[in-house]
Amino acid sequence: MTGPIADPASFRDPAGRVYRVGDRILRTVSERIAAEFEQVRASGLIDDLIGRGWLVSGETADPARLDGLAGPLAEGVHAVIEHPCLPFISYPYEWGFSQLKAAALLHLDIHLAALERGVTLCDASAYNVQFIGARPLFIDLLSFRPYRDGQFWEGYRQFCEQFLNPLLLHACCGVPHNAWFRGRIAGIPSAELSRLIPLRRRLSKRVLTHVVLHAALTRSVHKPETELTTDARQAGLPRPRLVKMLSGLRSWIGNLTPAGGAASYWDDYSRFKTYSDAETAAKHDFVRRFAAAVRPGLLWDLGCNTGDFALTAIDGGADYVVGWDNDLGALEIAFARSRDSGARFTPLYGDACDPAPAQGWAERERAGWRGRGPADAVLALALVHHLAITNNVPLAAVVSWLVELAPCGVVEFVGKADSQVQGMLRLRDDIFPDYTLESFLTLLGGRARIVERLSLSPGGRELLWYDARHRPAG
Amino acid sequence: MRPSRPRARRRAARLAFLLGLVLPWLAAPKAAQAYLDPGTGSILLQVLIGGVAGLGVIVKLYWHRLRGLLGWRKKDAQEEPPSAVK
Repeated sequence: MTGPIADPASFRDPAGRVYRVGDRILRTVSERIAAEFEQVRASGLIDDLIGRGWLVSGETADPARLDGLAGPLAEGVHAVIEHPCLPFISYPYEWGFSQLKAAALLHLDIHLAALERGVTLCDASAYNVQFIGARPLFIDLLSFRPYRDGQFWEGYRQFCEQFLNPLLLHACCGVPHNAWFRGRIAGIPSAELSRLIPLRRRLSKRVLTHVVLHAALTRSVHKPETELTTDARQAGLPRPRLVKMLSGLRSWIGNLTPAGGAASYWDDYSRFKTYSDAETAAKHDFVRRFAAAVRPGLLWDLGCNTGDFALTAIDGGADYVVGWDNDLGALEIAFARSRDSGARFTPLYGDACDPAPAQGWAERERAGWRGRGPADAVLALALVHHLAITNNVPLAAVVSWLVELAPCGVVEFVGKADSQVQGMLRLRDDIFPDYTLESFLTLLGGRARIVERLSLSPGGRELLWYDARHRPAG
Repeated sequence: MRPSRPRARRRAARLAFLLGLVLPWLAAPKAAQAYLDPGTGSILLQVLIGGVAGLGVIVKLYWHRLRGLLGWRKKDAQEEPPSAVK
């Protein structure tokens, strides 16, 4: 048994810590909050939320299975809770608008349910919500603390920065939250958002309260003033007011929609895609057979678009699919399809040429793509020409990158005869003499065994099923 | 000499104002020991949302600031200069 490895993101709250031991996820509960933890447990809230599917399940770890795991799992520890390992950890800057909205609503619903049982949430981190398919799931057991009447919502600022303000940025200004949130992983401060919101939007009572006034008060007392803080803390927020505040936010956020209405390029993909329905059917069949043969636990669909092939892969035998795409319009559709079908498919915002990096404290708090890999398999359909021609990535580098992301996969090569590639080259010099199917086959064949290939159109599109676990000899 | 009636009324009003500020503090519970800094501005907003009791805190805050702005702050309230680090 390997020793416990502390999760690099679970260091802020001294109430406990999350450890990974092999494939097990263990959460310690510190002795310092033993009484509070037991009070929350006795309230029945935890079982209620788990039963509703809102909170990750957790059982007191079997002491017999903790033998040999001394140190951090024993010293000063009141209890050890074992959680199931989630299929994939994603971050709010990788979620589309509807995903962030679903996470925000879950957070508020959980807080309201908690208050009914005399419990509150001590923080409001968006990173405490994860997705199973399209279903948001709250994962931090130690955010729950006994509620004392009059207590402030300690996580209010965090809720605004990590849920409300990113949503308002898109809803009021038409700017997606992803780039800004990724650039500042603590979220978007009210003081900064307040400067951007158009005048007519400011006149709404809610924007005025939660953004403009919030920002003005923050600016007016920028430096902590002990006397003020003590006075304010003792004034308190009566419970009915807190409930009204949470319900008001819930109803407001529930009605938010992205502004701007910029048409997505890929949103319309199904209308102008350049291959025939027979080709599409052949492509689906190829992906289905691959998934059925490999049965990947976790498959990454790179350039997942609206999720067509992700759903086919699941249908074929993939247990879970994480889809990446840099088109938020397509991702909205993919998310809706995943939600409506209940499939184990989570579409996420990400650009293969600019993936979210490892960042945060010591550059380890939030993992990049590689830090969350390798996957069991990848799909890279109609992607290589975007990397190699639009972004000038050498073909050899594309192949290395693919086989490092997962040991096997299906990759589509779109040749220069294809109308899409011709369109890409229309306004620029063709500086890609090596961009040929032969070159690609040589490079991929040097790193992996080509299990099967299928020509979708002569000189145009070629599907390649490869397996790098069986590298060719020599 | 006995204070005049208007002066007594002013004193009573001031006392009532101070009691209005102090009583909610005595009745209110201590805040939880949060690991997160909730942010002073965010607490103030909740104080406002909280209603009448909180209004006193805001009045007090800005009353101090107004006095400072108009130069009414007493000299003895000024901070001593920080001592040099040895």
